[in-house]
Amino acid sequence: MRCMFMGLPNSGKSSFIGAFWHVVDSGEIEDSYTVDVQPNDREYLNELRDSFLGCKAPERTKTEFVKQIDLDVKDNSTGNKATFTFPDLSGETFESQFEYRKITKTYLADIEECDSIILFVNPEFLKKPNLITDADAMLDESEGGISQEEAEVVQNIEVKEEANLNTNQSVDEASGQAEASDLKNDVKEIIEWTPKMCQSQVMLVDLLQIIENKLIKPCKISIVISAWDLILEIPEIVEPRKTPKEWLATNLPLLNQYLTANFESYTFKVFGISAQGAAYSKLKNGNKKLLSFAKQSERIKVQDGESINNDITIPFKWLING
Amino acid sequence: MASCDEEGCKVAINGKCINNLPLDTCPHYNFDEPNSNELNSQTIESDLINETELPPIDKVVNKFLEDVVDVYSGKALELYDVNQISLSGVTKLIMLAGMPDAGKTTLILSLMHLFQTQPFFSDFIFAGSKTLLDFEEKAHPSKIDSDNDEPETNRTPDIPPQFLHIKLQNTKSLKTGNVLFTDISGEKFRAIKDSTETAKKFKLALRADSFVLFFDTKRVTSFEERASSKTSALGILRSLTEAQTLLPHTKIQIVFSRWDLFSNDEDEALHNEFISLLKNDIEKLLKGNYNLSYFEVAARPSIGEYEFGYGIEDLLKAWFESDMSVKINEPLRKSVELDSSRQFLNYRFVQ
Repeated sequence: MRCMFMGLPNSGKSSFIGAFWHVVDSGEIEDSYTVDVQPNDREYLNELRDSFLGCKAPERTKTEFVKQIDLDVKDNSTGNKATFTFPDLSGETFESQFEYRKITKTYLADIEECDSIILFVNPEFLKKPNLITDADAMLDESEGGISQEEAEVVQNIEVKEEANLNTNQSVDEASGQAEASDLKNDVKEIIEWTPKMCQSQVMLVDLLQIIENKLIKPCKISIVISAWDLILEIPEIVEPRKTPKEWLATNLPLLNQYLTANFESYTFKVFGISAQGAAYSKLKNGNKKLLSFAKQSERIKVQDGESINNDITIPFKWLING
Repeated sequence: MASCDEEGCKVAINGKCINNLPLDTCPHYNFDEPNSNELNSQTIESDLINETELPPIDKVVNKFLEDVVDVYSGKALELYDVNQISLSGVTKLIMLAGMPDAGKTTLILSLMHLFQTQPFFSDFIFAGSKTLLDFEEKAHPSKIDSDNDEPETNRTPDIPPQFLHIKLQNTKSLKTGNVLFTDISGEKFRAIKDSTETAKKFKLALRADSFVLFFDTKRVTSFEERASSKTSALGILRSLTEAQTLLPHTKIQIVFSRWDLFSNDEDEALHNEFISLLKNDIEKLLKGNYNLSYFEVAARPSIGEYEFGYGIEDLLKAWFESDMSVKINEPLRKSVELDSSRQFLNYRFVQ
């Protein structure tokens, strides 16, 4: 099976690979895949695994670094064997494709042999379509609870308003003219748009559109919502618990609609995965709880529908078995 | 130093034409002619450099360019691109018309925003777009990232017609279809209003499935502006119908945009009376020859009683009325392309 790993910067691909390699190589999870034949070059995989085992964030994948990973695995529950081949491109590579509207011929050749994709999305790094009118509405809600996201937006606005006020005050003091200089300095330039400011879901849809005609169809896509521990930690009283599929439909509706509408090109399933188990701490002994698992595989969290377990190979199983 | 006579253009600073034209085609751009001393020094320098001594960076760039392929730009489409889309499947052309700042672009952007923030909109889901970057760029002044105090939409520049594209799927019938919105400047429509010759040349209107004429409610309910607002918009309609570039197969939809700004004061009855008379004038002009309907829309209302995108759902349904309706007993999960055997739907777009 030839699989492409896709995702924007900080989407969690490297953390996933490190945890995945540990699971398949250690055999700690009974029903998961295990390595059938060790890949010749394991240096990259072992580096990522070391980061996982040491509770350290993996180094950012460099843009020019393209590592092809070939894994021969066996499904312990069925005995079936499979070979996964995936080039590991950096998130910045995908971001550059979107921004500069160019793809390499090598990437194109890889895509033309692809019959599956694992698409990573990190809830912590989502750019959303925040309208100015949304912020105005939030500011108007002076009573009742607002969500953490709303609070951050409000805080950002208040910081900007305070900065503007301070600027005006200093101009007043400098010029000695009150209202006239205030009016003059009210005309300000907006921040110029760049493609990097686009919403995450727009980028992801566009990246799929770019390659849609080149893929072997129908292409199966496992969507991995990474850092899923953050979602699981939200109290139900604040936000009702959602399955990964429901989370995608709510938070990335454009992507969800695009994949649903183009069912002749794509079949997709959504998984919530915390490869790390929790956010890493930089404090001494800050990761003790995570490191206390005798089997490190057991700190991984994987949600498939309503059920939660530790088997990080489930997205691959679905790609093979449907 | 290079300069531009177009007001507001910062090409001398950022190298970018305010109308998005290539610099060598912009009539306002002034190329700076190098003086003879500069020419001489450049000649001497180029004599010293031959191909084998190219700086390494140029070789790297050339190698890079050999290894990459271009993908579609993601920006607004031109006529050639829309013809490719219309050949690929059923395509509706929605022509948005009206004077500058009537809310034409804001309506399209708000429609896109509704798909970006809801699991579906009306009976449709988003199935793709070739112009996602353009939607994002145009929507930028209305977003928090812009650092704007108030949401805005920039005026469409006065350039040849461009198109924004959305592909939609009906959730009940699973039929898909392309929608192309013309992004034509208000200035262009002003020219059409003022000249039969210009109206006759506007052949794109022949292909329009819907001609959506905007009346800015704020102007229509202002005693100072309502008369000129009415005559300007009616002038566009009259010019195109008399020039026979707007034909009866095109649905005409009258949109009262910015409906949240309808002034519900003591003059409300007078405003309603004016709008009634306006509708009568439109109906007299069209003489019952066209499929005509009216819509009140607040695409991006200020905080108040109107929800975001008020009125857009009715408009969207009107665009697809009787085309993408539910087929009883149609098996689920089977994609059905609209019947593209109708010649008209495959007509090329012409300018």
